[in-house]
Amino acid sequence: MAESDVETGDIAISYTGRSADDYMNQVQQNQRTFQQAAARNATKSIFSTLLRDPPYSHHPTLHPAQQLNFKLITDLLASIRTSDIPDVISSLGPEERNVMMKYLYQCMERPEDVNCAFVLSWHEKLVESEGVGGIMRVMTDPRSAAL
Amino acid sequence: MSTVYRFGPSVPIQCHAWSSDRSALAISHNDNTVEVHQKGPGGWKQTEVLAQHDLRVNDIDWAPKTNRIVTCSADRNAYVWVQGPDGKWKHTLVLLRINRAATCVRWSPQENKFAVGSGARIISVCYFEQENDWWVAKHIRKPLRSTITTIDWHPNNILLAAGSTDFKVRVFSTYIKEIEPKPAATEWGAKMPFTNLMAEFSNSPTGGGWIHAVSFSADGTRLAWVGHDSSIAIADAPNGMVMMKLKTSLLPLLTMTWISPNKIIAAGHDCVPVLFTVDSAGRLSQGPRLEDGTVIEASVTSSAMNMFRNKDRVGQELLDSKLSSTHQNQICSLRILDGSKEGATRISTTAGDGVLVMWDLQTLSAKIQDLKL
Repeated sequence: MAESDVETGDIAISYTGRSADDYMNQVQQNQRTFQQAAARNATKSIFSTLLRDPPYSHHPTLHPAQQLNFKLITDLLASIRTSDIPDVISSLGPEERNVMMKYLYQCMERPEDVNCAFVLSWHEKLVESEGVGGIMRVMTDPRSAAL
Repeated sequence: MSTVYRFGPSVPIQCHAWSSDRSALAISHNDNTVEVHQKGPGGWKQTEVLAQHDLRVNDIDWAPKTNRIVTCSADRNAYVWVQGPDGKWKHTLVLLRINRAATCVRWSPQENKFAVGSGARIISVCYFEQENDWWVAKHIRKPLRSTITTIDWHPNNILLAAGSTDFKVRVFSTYIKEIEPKPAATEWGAKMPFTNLMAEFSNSPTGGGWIHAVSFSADGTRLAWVGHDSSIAIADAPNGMVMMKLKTSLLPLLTMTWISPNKIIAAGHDCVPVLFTVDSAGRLSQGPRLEDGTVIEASVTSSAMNMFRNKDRVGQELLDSKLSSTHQNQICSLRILDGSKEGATRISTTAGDGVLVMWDLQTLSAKIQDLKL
């Protein structure tokens, strides 16, 4: 949906009531957390933090935060070795796995922006734990985490 | 354990309904007719075709005590069929006064009225008016803003649960003062004027998929439903209308029924019925499937040969897409065959593969511990 089609007066800014600035601060904070963890090669431990409360919205003021968060999550997913993927997934709760599945499908929508190999490895392991029901929950969830 | 019946070509059987003694079956093959089959010594024989609707028949219900069939269709009509002394079914048109397709129909427990859900965002509650000798339809409109996909009656003959495409389940009162006495208070509320919304449940705070089936428990204190987000949920009226939802890893379930006060059988796009149990705290847990997948033998050499043979014959490689379950397509309709929601011993399912399967829960419970009632 093009930005000009959106009647911004009718759409809520976010599902949680937090402001666009609030979400931008959160994403930037998460970026710093990721950079520190990546430097120590310890990105496995920050998944819960980074997958919590993503900037779900259809409102254009959240698009910059959503873009940054998308890049951040894809960097995070790409930083994990394939052999460590099952450990990370089992350490996450159901809501966090749902968020991850939504981001995987966002990655599939934009193959030119991401490296597809890691998307498929993560998807395979996530479906092993969540089943096709997990995919259904992404498809029936109207919340959008990116453009 | 499970018996399979075929009724003609492999056209999906959208809905089916049994007569009270289970000797007759009414089914619809996704078209505008309803076939009535009678069970005889030689198997099932088609005795009559009820062809009055102009468009697809969406639902059938057969009243056990009064032996009447009601059918509703995409042509915005419902017909009530009564069997004459010669055995032929005679129809009566019911004007539902809706301007969209009727989607689902159910007789009330006392069979003095029936409810029809529709795409017109209206539930038509119909009762027979003796003086004018015709069926009158009263509407439930507020606060429905979306197609009704499924309905189920409470045992008190007044309350009706409706699931809808706005991802919500609602309980309405259908009290019609002309034909019934004032109802006593239930766990769902005390005041029950007609069209009063007794309770509303959202399948998920953020969407949650269409509601495909809704079912009151045998005593009416609990309401269960299945949604398109592969979930099954229960609302417990005596415990403050608390809702408990189980997110499954299966494909979405399409139809369900209670088979005991704490067991539910649901089936859908996975083509196999699945058992769910409710524990004393009201929590749902997923039980086993009613059948394990049978391994399909596919030896390497024959499949390669088949592949080239198909390439030669049809011009493309044909994939072997036979499922390992009895049903080969999604199960769209499930009915209790023997027993009731208190304790069911046999259920029947029809699916998109045009086949009706009867599941004997008693013999299956020898293999599946959880099924023991």
